[in-house]
This record gives sequence, C-alpha cells and structure tokens, in this order.
Amino acid sequence: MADEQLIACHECDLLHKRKEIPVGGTARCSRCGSVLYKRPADTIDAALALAFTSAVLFVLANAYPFMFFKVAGRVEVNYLITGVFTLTDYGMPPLAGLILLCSILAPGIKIFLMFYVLIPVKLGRKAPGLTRAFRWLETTGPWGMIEVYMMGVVVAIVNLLAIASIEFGTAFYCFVALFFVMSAAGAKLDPHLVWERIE
Amino acid sequence: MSGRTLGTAASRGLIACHSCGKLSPKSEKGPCTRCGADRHARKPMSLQRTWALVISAAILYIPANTFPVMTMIISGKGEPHTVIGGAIILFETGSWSSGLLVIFASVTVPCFKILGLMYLLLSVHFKSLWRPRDRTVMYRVIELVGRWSMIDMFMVSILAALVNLGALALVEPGPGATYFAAVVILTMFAAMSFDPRLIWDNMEKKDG
Repeated sequence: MADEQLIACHECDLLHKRKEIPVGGTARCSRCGSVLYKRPADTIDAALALAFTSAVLFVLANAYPFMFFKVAGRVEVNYLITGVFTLTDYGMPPLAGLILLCSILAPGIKIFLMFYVLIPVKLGRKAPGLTRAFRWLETTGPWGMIEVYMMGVVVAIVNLLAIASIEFGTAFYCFVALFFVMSAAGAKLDPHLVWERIE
Repeated sequence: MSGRTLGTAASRGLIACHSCGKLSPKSEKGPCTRCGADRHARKPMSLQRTWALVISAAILYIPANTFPVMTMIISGKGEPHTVIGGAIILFETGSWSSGLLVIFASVTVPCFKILGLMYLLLSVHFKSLWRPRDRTVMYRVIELVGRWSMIDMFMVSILAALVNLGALALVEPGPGATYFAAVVILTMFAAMSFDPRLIWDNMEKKDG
C-alpha cells in the first residue's frame, strides 16, 4: 500500500488522498474536521540565518575585551573567559568549570549543533549522527545561561559603583545581542519539522 | 471506552518518546525508531532520584549560606561576606533593586525549588488528588526559574576577575560559592528527574 498517497484520520479513521496544500495551510478530515497534516512556512531558512549571526556574535564576544575596570589610573581588561581562569587560580576549578559551561561552552555547542543539524536538513542530505546531534541540542538548551550572566554583570557593576568606573568593551554588546539572536533562532526552529526531515 | 477523552498513552499501552514525541507500542523493544532515544513509559526511578537530589541540595544549602562567598578588599580594608551578607551590603549602600534581586535569586528561588519539589514528591507519594493542573504549573515554574540562582555565581566570578589590582582593589571568591553552585546544579537535576506525569497517574487510578 502506498502510504505516501493515503492518510487515515487519526480520529475517525476515514481514508483520504494526500494532496498538495498552500504554504501555511492545514488539511482536515472531511468527516470530523480533525487535522490530517499541515504545511508550515519554511522555518529552516530563518533558523539557519540566525545561526550564522549567532556564530559571528559568539566569536566576537570571546575575541574582544568584555569589560574594563578602572581605578586610580590603573586599568584591568577582562575577556569573557577571564573569570574562568581567575577562579581556577584561586583554587576553585569546579566553579570555574561550571561558569565556563554555562556562559561559553553551552552557547557555543548549541550554535555548532544548529549548523550540524540545519545544513544537512536544508540541503536534503544525510549526515552521520544527525538524530543524536539534534537530541543533544535539546539537552544542551537549559545550560546556556547568557541572560543570567548579564544580570550577574548588572549586580557586579552595582557592587562597584562606589569605588571604580566600569566600561563595556565590544564583546559585551555582542554577548547581549547573542542572547537575543539565539532566543530568536530557538523560536524559529520547529522541532517536529526537523524530526520529519531527519527521519 | 468510557468518558469524553481517549485516555493517556500509558492506558493504551503506548509510549511517547521523551525526545521527539513519537508514539510506539509498549511491547516493542529497543530505542525510539525516529530519534534513537531510550524509551520509557515514565522517567526511570523518578521519585528515588528526585528525593536523593533534593535532600542533597537541602543539606548543602547550609554551608552555601554560612560560608562566605566573596571578600572585597579596597585599599587594604575589607571583610568576607556570605550571600545574604552581600545583599545586606547592597541594601545599605542604597541599591535596593540589586539587593532584592540577590535575595530573590539566591534565597527565594533555591528554597522554593527545594520545598516545592519536596511537596510535589509527597503529593505523589500520598496519592493526592488536589488540583493536578496547578501542581503541574508549579513544576513548570520550578523548572524555568532554577537557572536564575546562578546569578550570584556569575557575579562572584565577574568581580573576582575584574577587581584584580592587588593591594589597591581585590576580590577573592570564598568557599561558599562552590557549595552554592552545587546546590544550583543539584536542584536543576532534581527538577529534570521528576516526572510530572506521575501527578496525573494518580488521577487516572481514581477514575478506575
């Protein structure tokens, strides 16, 4: 039986022929009105474009100075990763590792996985470990805490208002933008659509 | 089949993949054919794992709040302070919003998570029928809000790295920070290991 051409209503079991429908449309059972299948507007392109933007912002956020701490004529330049090294120097590697994970590794891995999954899906090709990659993308999700990091920066600055002047570097603005772009990419990515394409 | 609904997947002998949602018969062996994830009707050993993690988090919460998380030394003067001590300093210098944020993220949220999960666990153990929908919403909030406890950890790391000018100005991280990070991680895992469907399983049994 050619399952591509026939579809049974999952609520009343009536058979229908699968027809092409306009983008954004929904096919419903002629007897009971239940949804048989949909044709969503293509979200893969949007998610892929946002993934590219995220990658650029991520590189900039790590490569350029993040913040400057100035007091009595001396300046301390910090990068995104500086905190990790400092905590290690103070003999607190587990905390350093956690900060590294939540602020740098998790976002970086998410961006990489987005490319790894979306590019083959867009090109219609298979790639090794695609299903595992997409599963890991969902698992890594909660560990990217850029917005929490930003609030940490805000509270840190408030702690320092009395004693020093703080300046933001390029990386700071890129990191803020990265949060918004990654949130948008996550919103555009319809998991059901991707699973269908991967299968 | 009685009633207006079709019943849960479990009552039909079906398993929904936790990763991609695909339904498959319980009698089938092996991982999900669509995404390769292990198939379980319910999260394995959900109650045991959640209890273990919640109790560990509750125990570590004590050193997390009694040991200092940070010492700020300006021109040779400075003292270590705990999470709550830091919030008090923020209040004293007039930064009410920051102080409230720290109290909320570092005290309210972890307590809510630990006590909330304990309540949910007990409600499942005692087969409570009380407002399942609201309990599920409570679980959702616990899951979403947990990460915000990391604010203090990020703040300590940023300050320690930034204020690094030797005798002039120095911030040292304290042991409380590691304990606190452990509490955050444990509560995150605890929320992940709790299966909210267990709340509804008890409702099913009531209908017979």
